[in-house]
Amino acid sequence: MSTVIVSARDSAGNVSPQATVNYTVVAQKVVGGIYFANNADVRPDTTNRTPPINITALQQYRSFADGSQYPGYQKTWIPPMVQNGVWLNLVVELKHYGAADAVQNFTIEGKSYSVPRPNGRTRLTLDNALTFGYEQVWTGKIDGLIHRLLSQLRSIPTGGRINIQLASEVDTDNANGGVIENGVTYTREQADLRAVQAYKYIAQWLRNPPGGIAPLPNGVTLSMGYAGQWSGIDGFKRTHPEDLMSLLDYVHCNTYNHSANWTAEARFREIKDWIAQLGPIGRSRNIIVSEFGSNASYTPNQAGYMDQVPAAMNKLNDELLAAQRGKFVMTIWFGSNNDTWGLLNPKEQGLQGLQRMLDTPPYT
Amino acid sequence: MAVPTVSASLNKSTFAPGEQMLLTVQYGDTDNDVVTVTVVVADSQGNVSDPVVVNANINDPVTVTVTDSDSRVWTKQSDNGAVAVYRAVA
Repeated sequence: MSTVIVSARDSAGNVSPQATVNYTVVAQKVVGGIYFANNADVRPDTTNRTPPINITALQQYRSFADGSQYPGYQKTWIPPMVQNGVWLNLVVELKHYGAADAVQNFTIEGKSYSVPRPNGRTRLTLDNALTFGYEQVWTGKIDGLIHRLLSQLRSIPTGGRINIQLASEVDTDNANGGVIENGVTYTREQADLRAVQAYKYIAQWLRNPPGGIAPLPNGVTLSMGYAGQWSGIDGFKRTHPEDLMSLLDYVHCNTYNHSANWTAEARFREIKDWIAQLGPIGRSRNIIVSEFGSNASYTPNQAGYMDQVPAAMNKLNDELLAAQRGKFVMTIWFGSNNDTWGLLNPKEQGLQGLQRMLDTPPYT
Repeated sequence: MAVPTVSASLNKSTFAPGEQMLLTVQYGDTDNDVVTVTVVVADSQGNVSDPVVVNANINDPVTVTVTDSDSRVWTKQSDNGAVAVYRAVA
């Protein structure tokens, strides 16, 4: 804690009693963690290690079609972590993650819903994944699923934080030939605009639900995921208009050191440079990176890449602060897929790198 | 001579590094007063002028000193004689 001391003195040398004001300068922390394949329990390889790894963020993937988004089917380990201050980033997709391709009839908080089968296919992700079409969203066909998500979020522990990430990667959903909805193919450009309309609808619904439904509880925020890098800046700008950004709390972008070997600073800087091209609302939003990773065969290895991250975060956040822009607030290593993405290899070396990273400011 | 008075407040109590901090200082001295002087001129024949009223400010100049336990430098942004605003960077 610091103190400012103020006094006043007149011409005769009379001095006032001192006035003091206390203040604190707190370094902006960034939360961090790791994701393991299939939404696995992170505790065995993090908090249950000796010494424990300082996990402050958690990543999970769900589909709107799933019966339970929060905490998720058999995910009883999640609420205690949220209660203990771990910030949960919960991806909620329009894509099916294996739920039955069937009409869903259910009642939420006294309202009965009948949600039709998804009528869409993405062209790239998950091999033409079954997905709710954007038009199904903005015509209210999946209101019941949005309400179901909202009702489950009401059990957030007091003081807990959950960010709902709409779409894992909207650009991946729409790239490589766009999307198919109800048998009609839409180009990527068309799909991007349809996505914006759909995600605006969901964000509006969650913030101002119809018919007396209580809105989002405290501690729940919204973002929309973007892969970045390979899919290009044009799509990024197309999917981040100001009227959508005004409804979202964060800019959300992934970054992989996967196709070419860059430094961690260069990778995260790319996100900063992209956001610089958004409007003032987009630029003002803090930044979540809930997937990042590096190819295990690159030099340095994955642990060495993690070692670069704290200094990169400090440097970039200093620059963002000076530019009066939103700052990086969350980064989560993607310990999944294969080791050219982020699967830890060797695992123990990677976990030790994760531990060093999360024990270094701005993560602690 | 009276002792001056001073009070101070910050725009926030917790700041991020690099953030602008604003300190508002209110100060005064009861020796400061406004005196009203009324002037009338008369000549030897008894002609008397209309009164002229003049307000005079009797000021005891007050100097404000700001120090910081963190050696942070506070720069005066404005001062109207009763309220001064200082700025520093966290």
